[in-house]
Amino acid sequence: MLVDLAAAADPVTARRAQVVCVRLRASPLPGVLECIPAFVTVCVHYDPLVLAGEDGRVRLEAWIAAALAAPDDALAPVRGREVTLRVRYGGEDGPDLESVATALGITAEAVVGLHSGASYTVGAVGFSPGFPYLLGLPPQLTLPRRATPRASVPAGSVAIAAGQAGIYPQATPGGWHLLGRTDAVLFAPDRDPPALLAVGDRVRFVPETGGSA
Amino acid sequence: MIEVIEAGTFTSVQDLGRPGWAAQGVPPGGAADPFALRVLNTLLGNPEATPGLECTLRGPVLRCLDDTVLAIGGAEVPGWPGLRRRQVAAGQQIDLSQLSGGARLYVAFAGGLALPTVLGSASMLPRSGWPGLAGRALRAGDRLACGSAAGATGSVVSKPVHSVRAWSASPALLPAGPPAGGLRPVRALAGPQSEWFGEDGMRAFFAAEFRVNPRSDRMGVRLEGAAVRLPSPRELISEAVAFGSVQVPPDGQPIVLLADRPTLGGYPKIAQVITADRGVVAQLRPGDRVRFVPVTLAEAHAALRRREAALAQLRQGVVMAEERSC
Repeated sequence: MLVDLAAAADPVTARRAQVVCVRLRASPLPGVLECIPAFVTVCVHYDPLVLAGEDGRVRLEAWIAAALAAPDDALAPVRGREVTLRVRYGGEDGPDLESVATALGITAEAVVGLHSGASYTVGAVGFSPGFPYLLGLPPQLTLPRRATPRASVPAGSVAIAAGQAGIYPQATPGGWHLLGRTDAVLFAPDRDPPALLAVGDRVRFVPETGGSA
Repeated sequence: MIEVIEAGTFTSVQDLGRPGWAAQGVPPGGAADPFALRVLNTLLGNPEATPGLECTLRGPVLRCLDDTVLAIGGAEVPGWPGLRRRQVAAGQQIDLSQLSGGARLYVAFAGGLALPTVLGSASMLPRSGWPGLAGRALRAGDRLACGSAAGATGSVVSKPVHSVRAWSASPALLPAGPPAGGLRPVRALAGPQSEWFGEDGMRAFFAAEFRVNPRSDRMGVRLEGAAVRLPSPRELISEAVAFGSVQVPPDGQPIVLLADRPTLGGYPKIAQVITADRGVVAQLRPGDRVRFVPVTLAEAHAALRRREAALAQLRQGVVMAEERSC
């Protein structure tokens, strides 16, 4: 079951999606398998053999309605954390920094300044395990994806495309522009939780001094 | 120990995947036809989620290095009765290369396959280096240890089944598909964005016939046919998707998402294949023809209940047979 929270993605709605999920998980309803927040929605997967028929649907809807109705300040502690990530911009770590600057008609320093000067909010986690889609990229850095995706993007690559920012947790194929790299471990299967970032978390990038940028 | 003599087109280790980690961005993975694997594991007295092999279009040739009890099902192998325990003697080679009646054959082993797990699953996750075998499909020369998993994880029977009895599952549990190129009805509910397509659009979708594109894989079954269009362009903000979600990209050629789907999708979902028909979709071969049949949520749940009751009956039968023999 998909619950729509808003028509447009913004940090407040993303945090609300996370708060609703945390609230749902805190009062588990038998038969509910998982709650997945993403930008403006909360998706609830359930076992129809447990939440069966009209009665099951009514109970599921009432459970979700209660989580939606509770005031947001009731769960203030689960509001997004603030995470600061150190980034080596440019050079081998950010092979697209120069081409991004050229495409935007600004200097590489200006790209780094804009990217690291912004405050981001995780809108969704997906694409690959632990990959955060970040809201808050300055509009001046809006660019389409690369014409040809890379077969393998190094883990920790800090990237932008289509008005969004992201970080590649593992070496995967990818079509975003790579501005730099962080040593932060975005996903570790044996960590609890495995993903470093959750929907609603705030993220800041800090250029590593002495780096190639 | 099982040795891979020929790997087949795409043979991978699969169990029931990693449900519950989608909020962390982890694709659920697992068998593309989960019910087929559950039936085989149940037949062998394994826990349902025990890893086995998933073989695609052309299966492998395997050699059992020890006496092994196994069962096959899903697609069919001519001359090999499926849904039946079968003892293979040490040194014997089994040829599962010729598949019919479906795209995917499952091979389950009494006691399962002993493999490392990530987030509770041995399923291969492509491009991750996660298990299976180092996150890749099987190759000739690979060796897989089997026969110990069930004891360790708590089998539905007290010990792995190492003897063969006249015990098989009803073929009705996993009905074979039509001949290659045949028309498969797939039952589906209206999807979360079905209203975007309008009443006429939905009528046209459920009346249309699609053909399975060869570029289909474990991520999704790609269909081709008359383009499915939105009456006016509209962008979806990415949201969670499910097994069987029918996405419509801008080219109008629907994709039915399978086990290795990403957790999020940004294309409108016109329909949702019912849980009871996941296997029907997973068994589609390139060139097969598909039509979506609209059903109500109540009909979908009833179909699932019938199927689960049949599996429960098989499980009970296996447990009773084992108890009698102890």
